[in-house]
Amino acid sequence: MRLLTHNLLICPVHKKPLAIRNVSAVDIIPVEYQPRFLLRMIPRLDWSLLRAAAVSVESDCVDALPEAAPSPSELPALEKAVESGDRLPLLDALQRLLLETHVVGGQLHCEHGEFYVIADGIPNLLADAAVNPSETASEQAACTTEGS
Amino acid sequence: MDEISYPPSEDTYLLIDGCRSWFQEHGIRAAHPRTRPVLVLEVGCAAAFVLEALATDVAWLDGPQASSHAENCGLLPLLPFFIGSDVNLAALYQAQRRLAATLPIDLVCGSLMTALRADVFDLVLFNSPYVETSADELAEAQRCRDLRAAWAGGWLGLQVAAALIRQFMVTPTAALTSEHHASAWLLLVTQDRTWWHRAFSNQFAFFVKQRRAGDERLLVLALSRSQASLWYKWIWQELRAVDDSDRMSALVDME
Ligand SMILES: [Zn+2]
Repeated sequence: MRLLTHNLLICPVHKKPLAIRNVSAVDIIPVEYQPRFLLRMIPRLDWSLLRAAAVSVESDCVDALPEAAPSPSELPALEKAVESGDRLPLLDALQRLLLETHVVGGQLHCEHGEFYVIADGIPNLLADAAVNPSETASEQAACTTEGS
Repeated sequence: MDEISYPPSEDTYLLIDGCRSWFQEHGIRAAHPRTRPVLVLEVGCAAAFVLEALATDVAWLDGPQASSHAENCGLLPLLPFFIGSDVNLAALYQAQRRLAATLPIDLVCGSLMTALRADVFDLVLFNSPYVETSADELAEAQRCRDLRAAWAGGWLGLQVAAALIRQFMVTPTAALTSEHHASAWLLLVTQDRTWWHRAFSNQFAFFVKQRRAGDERLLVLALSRSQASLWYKWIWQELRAVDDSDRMSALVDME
């Protein structure tokens, strides 16, 4: 599972983003540079989730990610730079993180306490595959109304 | 061969062909790079034969006009990224062993779109389970998540498709709308029923392709987000009109 895919996942029960923890294996698999694809992804990303994911997998690209995503008004200038062949550190970092960094083993934690397992690169996000470490049943019951 | 998932069959190829012809129209009309689809989800991808075909042959995505336009302008290529989801984890591992790790495909085990943000995809593909079954049979297939889940469709072979259409209807966020993202589409393979032809004449869905496979007549159709919500309202009214409370509650249960 690439970090791009991680950014698009939600907890199937509570519809919340999931934090990557207890990473046991990460693969870096280089692919062709896709700056225009990455520019199209920027408005769709949960930026703080991506930054946290980069920290979880101990990526050396963390420092190249600004605190906040480029705003829509900044995108045309980035587009222009890409079309004229400039290599931008931000897009290099996004290329590495979103398209080339694969979490092979680890866990996806929901803020409600349960987690989902990533094994051999595939996350299991079936609701009944959730692992509840402390079995806080009262919390679970309180959250069933939050789905969209 | 072990029976983890079905090999590609007529409906698999119909979805691939449906995608291609759909893109001939929409990919070229949307020749501006900013509106071309870049994020594609296949729900119920099983061993990912459709995604493999689409990802290894993406020339069709741009269409001849768009490609030469891109070359003339010296633009860089714009390839889409594909995510496949399925309830059948064994089938996903089977796909993963077969697919090259450099292909732009990721696999996720999950039920329909319940574990994915529904607002981010440009295109959602679903070869829906379209065989009419009893409610019990559908529930059993979904509980066991075995081969039966690939075909058991509940009432009118429509129940699972209806659940996905419901999940697809969400409103995109403001940021995505401003990115010209209002035009997300759902491509559905299902059985050719008069029901769907009524949807076409009401403009609740667009006809894409039709094919006879053995005894079955299959259909590929496309729904935009706004069509999806019109379609859903329509089916709800139809069920209410005949006072079919069992099916109405089945629609709600599938969520
Ligand atoms: Zn949760």
